[in-house]
Amino acid sequence: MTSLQRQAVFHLIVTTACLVAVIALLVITKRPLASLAGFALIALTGFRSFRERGSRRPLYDERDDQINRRAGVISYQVFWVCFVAWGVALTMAFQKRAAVPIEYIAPAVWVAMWLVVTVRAVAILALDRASLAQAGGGAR
Amino acid sequence: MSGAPFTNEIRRLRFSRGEMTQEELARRVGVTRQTIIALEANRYVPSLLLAMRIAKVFEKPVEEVFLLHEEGPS
Repeated sequence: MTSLQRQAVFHLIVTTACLVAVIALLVITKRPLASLAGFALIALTGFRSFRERGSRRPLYDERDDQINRRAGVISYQVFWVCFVAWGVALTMAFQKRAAVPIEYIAPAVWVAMWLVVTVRAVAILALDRASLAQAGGGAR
Repeated sequence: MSGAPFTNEIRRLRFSRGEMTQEELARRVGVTRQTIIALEANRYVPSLLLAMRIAKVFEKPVEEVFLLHEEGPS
């Protein structure tokens, strides 16, 4: 497993924990806006997943860089489609009131961040797997 | 045989060089083993720098290690 794959797995663990925290807070507090505090766990993605001291092997190379960039493009494409869809849905739902309640706007920021991190991590693992699919992992 | 327009002889050359492992080749050219696996499966096109490093390990010209199978503009 390369450094990029490890990072992607770590990000998936963080985003899953984040989702669990939001749902748990929602159940416990029964206040949707308060439960959004669970999204603070996304900050953990700023940490490195594993220490890789003492390794003499390359941990990140040009192929990882290419996968990382493609995954970034995919995640922002998904984000943009969802962002536009959310905007259209809010417009259609609240056009007669001329104002969108804050509880529909605030979560969008954190959900968008969560979505980008999650989709990016999944895309990294999928693209990596796809590029190795024909070779088989056990090849010498 | 893959239908890829860009193939390589890395696997054959590895075995002709005393069965050099993917790990050993990866270490010598400074990439991960996964990249060597992807290269041998013709699932990844390397940078010019990496292609030249690999050719240097096998002491061959780049065009003997990497093969282009399409008619392009000359």
